[in-house]
Amino acid sequence: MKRVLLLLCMLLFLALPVCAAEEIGVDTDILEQALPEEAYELMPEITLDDMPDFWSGTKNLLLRALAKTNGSLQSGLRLCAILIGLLTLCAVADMSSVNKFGGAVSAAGALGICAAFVGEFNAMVTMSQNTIQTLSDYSACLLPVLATAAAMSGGMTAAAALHTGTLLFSELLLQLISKLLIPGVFFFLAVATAEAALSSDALKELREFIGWLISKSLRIMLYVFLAFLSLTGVIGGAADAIAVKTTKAAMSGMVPVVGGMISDASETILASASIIKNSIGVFGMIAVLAICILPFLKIGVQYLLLKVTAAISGTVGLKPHVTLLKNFSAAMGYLLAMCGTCSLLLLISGVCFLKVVV
Amino acid sequence: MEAVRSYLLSVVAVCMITVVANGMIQKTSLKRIVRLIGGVLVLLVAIRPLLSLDMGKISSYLEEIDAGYALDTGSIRTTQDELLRQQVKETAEKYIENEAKALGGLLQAEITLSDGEYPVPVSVKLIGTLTPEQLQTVSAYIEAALNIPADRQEWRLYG
Repeated sequence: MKRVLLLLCMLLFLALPVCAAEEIGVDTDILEQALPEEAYELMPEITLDDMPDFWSGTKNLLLRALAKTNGSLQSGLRLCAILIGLLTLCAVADMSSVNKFGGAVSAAGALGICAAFVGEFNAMVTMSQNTIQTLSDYSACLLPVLATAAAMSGGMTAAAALHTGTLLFSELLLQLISKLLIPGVFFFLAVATAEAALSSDALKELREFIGWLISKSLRIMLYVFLAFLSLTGVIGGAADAIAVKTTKAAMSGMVPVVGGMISDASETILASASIIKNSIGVFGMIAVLAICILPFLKIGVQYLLLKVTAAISGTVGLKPHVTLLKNFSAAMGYLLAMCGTCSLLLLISGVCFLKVVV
Repeated sequence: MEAVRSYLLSVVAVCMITVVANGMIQKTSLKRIVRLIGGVLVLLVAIRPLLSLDMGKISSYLEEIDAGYALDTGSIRTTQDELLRQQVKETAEKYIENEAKALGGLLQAEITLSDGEYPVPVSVKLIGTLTPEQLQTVSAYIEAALNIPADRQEWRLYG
């Protein structure tokens, strides 16, 4: 009889309600409200109320975004046709001209190719700047909510460190990209154009240095951030696990018979917060992908088309002009890398928050 | 960051001017002079700003960015403590009420928790209808299971 009564009591405790997000001090409405319209259109079926499925959400996102890149493909092909046309004209003009005008053909061709390219490139720069700014603004909403949920699920130390670190690196990256790297890409283009116009190797080292500076800055930023995350995960996780175990042991020790059941009350809160944290984390990662996927695809299409153009123009164009085209595609690649680094930083951070398990 | 951009711009500009000037001049003797002047200019523009580089300013810049990104763990801990206290209170009260129900009585319990770091039941107010035998059993249970002695149990019985 006593065993039956005890079993009934235990079943009653299992029926304790799971906490809602508001009860644990987490405001999740802001995550849906802060999403830009374009991103929201790519993920209409995903809400925070149901536990979002990451893979099907990402797959649908990708398919919808791909369908919207048609315009970008058309304009990229138009640009490539203009560039190949210019290259061919310059090659023909160079073959027909007398020696003393050869330099002028090279210079005029380089400037013409640059003028044709720069309009499209400016549009891509504006798009990537807007994307990076939007990612930064959204991370300012997402990270505090995610960090609060992670802290409520028991990972106080790890969540605080991840929150501070991610926001700091995100802000540093934004400053670096907007104030140094994007102007650096324009310097890169200017030097590459001058190099092609003068048909000389004098500026080659300077151009390679600027390219190296841009790609290495992004890589170093990402590596340092990954190192920080790895250390935080290990140190913070250990501290949090000890804190939770200490609380449970202290409470179950203080109250003789039902102490274990009372200390399990703290587990209920941690479990509820953990479910909410996972939901927010998955939604947040899909939202980050939704913000960056369309610009990423558009810039990626331009980058690939320029690569192909540079490859096929080698058969007809003058060497300085072909090198110039390769440098243009490299510049587009730097823009792609900037967008990619910003979104990767947030995605990795989101994964680390999800991995905060005590 | 603006300083780094200006520095890069000035280095790029002086290099390009030097190369363009070299490219435009055909006479060898003049080319030598232009190259020499260009070299001195590049040296001044590239090296001189680095001599006045202050690492302390970079450190202050990073500190400025870092300020204001700390997570408010204090308020999260407060919310966590409140939720825990609520859960512990509800759990203990339900335990007492279910014990009384199992014995055939009807009881409403109101637990008071300690103010320390870990909330544990310290006293209880009980309102309900129990026979004297049931009361004794429940009181003994409360003392044994929740560590609340009889002098901290306040009973109000009806019927």
